[in-house]
Amino acid sequence: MGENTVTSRFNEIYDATNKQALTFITAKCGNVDDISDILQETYMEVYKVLGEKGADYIENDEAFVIRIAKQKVYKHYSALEKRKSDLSLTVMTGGEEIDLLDEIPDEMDLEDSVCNSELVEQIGAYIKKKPQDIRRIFYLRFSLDLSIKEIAEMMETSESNIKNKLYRTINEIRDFYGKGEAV
Amino acid sequence: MKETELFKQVADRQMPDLEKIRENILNSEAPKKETKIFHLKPSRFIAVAVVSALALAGTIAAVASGGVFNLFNPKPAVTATADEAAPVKKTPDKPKKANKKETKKSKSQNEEKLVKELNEKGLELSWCESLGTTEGYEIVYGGGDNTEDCKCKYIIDNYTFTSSTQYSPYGLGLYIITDNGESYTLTEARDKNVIPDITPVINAIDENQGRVDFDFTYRLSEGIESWFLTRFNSNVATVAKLGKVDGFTIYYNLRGTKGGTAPAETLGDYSISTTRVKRDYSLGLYVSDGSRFGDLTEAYNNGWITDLTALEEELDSNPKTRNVFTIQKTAETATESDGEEETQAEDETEPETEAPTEAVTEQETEAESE
Repeated sequence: MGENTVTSRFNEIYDATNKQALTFITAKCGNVDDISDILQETYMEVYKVLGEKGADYIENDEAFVIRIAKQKVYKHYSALEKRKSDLSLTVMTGGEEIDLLDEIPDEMDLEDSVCNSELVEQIGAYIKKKPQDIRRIFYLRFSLDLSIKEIAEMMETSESNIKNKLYRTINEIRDFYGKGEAV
Repeated sequence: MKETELFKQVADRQMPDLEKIRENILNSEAPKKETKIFHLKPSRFIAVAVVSALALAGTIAAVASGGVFNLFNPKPAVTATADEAAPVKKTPDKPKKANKKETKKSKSQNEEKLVKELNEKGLELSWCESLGTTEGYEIVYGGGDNTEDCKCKYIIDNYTFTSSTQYSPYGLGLYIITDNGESYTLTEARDKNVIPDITPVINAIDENQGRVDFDFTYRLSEGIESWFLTRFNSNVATVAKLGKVDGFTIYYNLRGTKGGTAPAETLGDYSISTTRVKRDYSLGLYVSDGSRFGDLTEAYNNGWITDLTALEEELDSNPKTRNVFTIQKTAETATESDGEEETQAEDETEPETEAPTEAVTEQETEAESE
């Protein structure tokens, strides 16, 4: 099996599945800072399998990649860490189950005078301080464009839980940055 | 800048650079065909190396006995007869081939038998694979062709087994075949004490974790989640933390059917009711101090929870439970006629039952309207 064939097959699989793999890892990881590592480990394994078994070995690209991603996520965390992560999905603390989706306008009233890139950095730093589940929800929603329903399914929790966490965070960002206050 | 664009920029900055990852992988050492020996564990690698060395030494000795020139010439040395030299080469090959074939045949027969037996039990198992043989039984995993994603959690002994494989829609997907050829699911095998200890299964899972098509995990069960899973034979623990009372953490069940007859309990001076009907018709309130677990009624009866005023405060202060649980003090206005309150009720001249009835009715109405 030629190296070029393996490389081109790898590229084909990578292009077709990287979003799904990234979404899966983001939803399931214990720490979002590990996403990059787990994603790379996942595709390293895919690349290795292609090299060892041949470019035709993988029949269902997405199923295969997701299965390896699952293993990599499981392997990446100790049983205890995984358990904590699991529990954090089911434990809810406070917050009315109000459909905030309808109440939030598309645009927020951020100060136009604030430099956008600086604002992006500030909000990024703020998000980094949030709990893992909130960070995952934020990235799944805004970077991977998943709907509330899709995020709830991926994270195995209720839509209202996701809405609460997401919109509470958005409101916090508005409170801190929309009025020009520093955190 | 629009809010969503701003958040997208924030989120994108945190996400990995996909092109960089691709580059890293493609720039890594090109994958090569698997050389099996390098995939052995260090202990096995050493064992294989020692055996190989001994075998080589034996071969050299055998060849040397036929003449040192055999090392450089495949033909028998002049000093040895063809009959003497030939067995040295043939003996190790023949039985090895035969054994290998026999093992493969036996394994596949086992697997076929398992598939057949499990299918007779109403499952549509289409494949299975051995995870290894231990004292008196073989550990096998398998499933059907159903590609529907399935996540199963089973508590067996002190372990929570999770299978997220796409091919095990019928349960955990772990099976035991005894030397007699009888097959059991892992749960059955433990329930019937076919396997006296779960450790070999754990070891088999550990040894097979590296395989790309293997998808089981386990962990030691602990805490309220484990208790909940065991008690309700559930796959998912749907409890949420409420707060602390009397040193015990209070949890409430997130699941329940609205409507129907809402459960109500009288504990001491308090009447507690809920709009959510649970499978076990309990209140859906649980307590634990890390070592003791129980539902609220058990906890109260055991004397673990006595401060129901604190419980009332916790239930009322949490918006998630405020509208689901109703806790009312009944001693001042009513006297209960059931449970522990019977003796107190005897002293009362006009026992009232209106309050708890009202509470239940109110909740039922609310539940129905929801």
